[in-house]
Amino acid sequence: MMKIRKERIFLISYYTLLLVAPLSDVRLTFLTGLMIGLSLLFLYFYRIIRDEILFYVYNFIAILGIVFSLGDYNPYSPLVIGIAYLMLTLIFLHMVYARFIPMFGMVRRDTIIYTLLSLPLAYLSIYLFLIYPIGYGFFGMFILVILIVFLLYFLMRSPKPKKGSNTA
Amino acid sequence: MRTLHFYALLLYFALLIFVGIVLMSPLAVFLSLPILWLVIFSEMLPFKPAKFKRKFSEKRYVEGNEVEFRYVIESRGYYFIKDAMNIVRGYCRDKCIEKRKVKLDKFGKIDFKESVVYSEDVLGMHSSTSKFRDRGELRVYPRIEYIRKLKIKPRKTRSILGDYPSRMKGPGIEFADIRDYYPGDDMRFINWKATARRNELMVNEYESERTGDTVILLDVRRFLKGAEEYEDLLNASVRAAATLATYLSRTRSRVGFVVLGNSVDWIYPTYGKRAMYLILDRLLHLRSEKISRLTFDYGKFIVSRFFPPNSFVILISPLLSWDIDDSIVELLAKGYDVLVISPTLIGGGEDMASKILKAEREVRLRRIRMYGRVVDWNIEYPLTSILKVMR
Repeated sequence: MMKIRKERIFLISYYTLLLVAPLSDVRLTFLTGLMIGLSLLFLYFYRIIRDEILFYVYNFIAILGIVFSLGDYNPYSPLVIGIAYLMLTLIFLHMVYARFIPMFGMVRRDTIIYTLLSLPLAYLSIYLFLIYPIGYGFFGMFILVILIVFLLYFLMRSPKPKKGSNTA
Repeated sequence: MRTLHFYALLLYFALLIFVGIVLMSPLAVFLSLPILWLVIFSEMLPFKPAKFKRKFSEKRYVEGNEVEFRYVIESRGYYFIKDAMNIVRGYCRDKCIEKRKVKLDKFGKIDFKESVVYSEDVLGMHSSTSKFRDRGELRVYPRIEYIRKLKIKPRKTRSILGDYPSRMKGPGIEFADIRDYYPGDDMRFINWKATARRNELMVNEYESERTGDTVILLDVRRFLKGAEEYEDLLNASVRAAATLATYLSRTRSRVGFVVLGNSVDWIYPTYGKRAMYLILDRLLHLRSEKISRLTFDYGKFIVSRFFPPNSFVILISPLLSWDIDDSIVELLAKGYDVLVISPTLIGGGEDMASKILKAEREVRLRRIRMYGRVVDWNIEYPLTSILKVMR
């Protein structure tokens, strides 16, 4: 019996969930279907050409599908955000398995833990920085700005210079 | 260095924000947040590029042996190490030991010239690639069969004691003749039965055993690329040369070696183990994928130029080139003794080209058989089993 690889299981479940959610609205179902079709097309190209950029293109189009799939629901509802993040979990896991297994032959548990940890943290962040600041005004905005400053510091810092000597 | 994965996720983040603004969709902005957290994690988590040390016993191996490699890897993250023999990959937290057992299927010399080490952090957002000069080598010798006795009788032997029966009579094992006793003859050699019959003292005479010059002429010219059967044929020829070189070095004869492959190469005749190791070392470098443009004349020239006449030439060739039989006849005319061992293309397709090739080879074999000894060797059977029945 042919064994289906993990990354494929995640992707198939993701596409299925994506298509089930907007079934009440024909327009959104069509748009979601379009996104899935486009994503599959780039996935097909990726399998032929094996260019890593195509890997990120089809995954991004797939992620964009969530926006259309859940377009009919209240975006501020914790349940809708929860479902959106559940879908995102599936596509993240697909990306992790599809990327690490061919290259390193394995996926370390740490990788999965950090990937999954990003989702509850993002869930909390939404309330802490995006929804509460509207109510709590200055305090929320202040924390948001501080976070952005820290982020910029981490991202923009230059790599450590290598120790070397010309006499060696 | 940051990976494409990192830049792709940053772009995802920016594009999702953009989509959120354009479509007035807060959901797109919410979807960008986990990506941001992933980027933050990757900046905070420690990453140490991989370094490795490899250990294996650098001794001589024979085809089919197993060699164990031990990799000691220091890293914090994923690693991908590629050297001349292995690809080792996985994840290491601080120090890991990886063991690999490799079966050496092909003979040849493996040089560890360069290694590539690629490592990534736990989220695959930082990477490090390094190439460095590697050291070490593996020598995999062709499989050698054990030959107990090979019936070779060179036309002319040298004065040093050896294993070949000489035309001269003297101390030896092989019985040659009976003659009258002369004063001074050793009492041990008196043939008492003959003495009783003739009523006068008779002594046995033996064939003296001396060394001789033997040349192994190996023809591994490649006329065809990639065919598996053809590859087997060339490999069988090399194994036969190794087997004969090992046997001849045991017989205390002077062994020379000429090889026709991509180019002509030769080793002057030498004695004993030195000859064996010289030839075996030369055989390690014979693996080549290039089509050979050499004619057999080069081999004939080297033999007649550098090796004394009356030497015993053992030619190992699949007899696929058109000029080989004429050259063998010429060598015979110059006084060399030639034994042809011809590995056969097994299987042999039923197409017209294969049939013509077979027929041509058959004609060559018949012609050579008129002048010298030929061993038609199907490589499905061991060489020793064929040589045992050789007359």
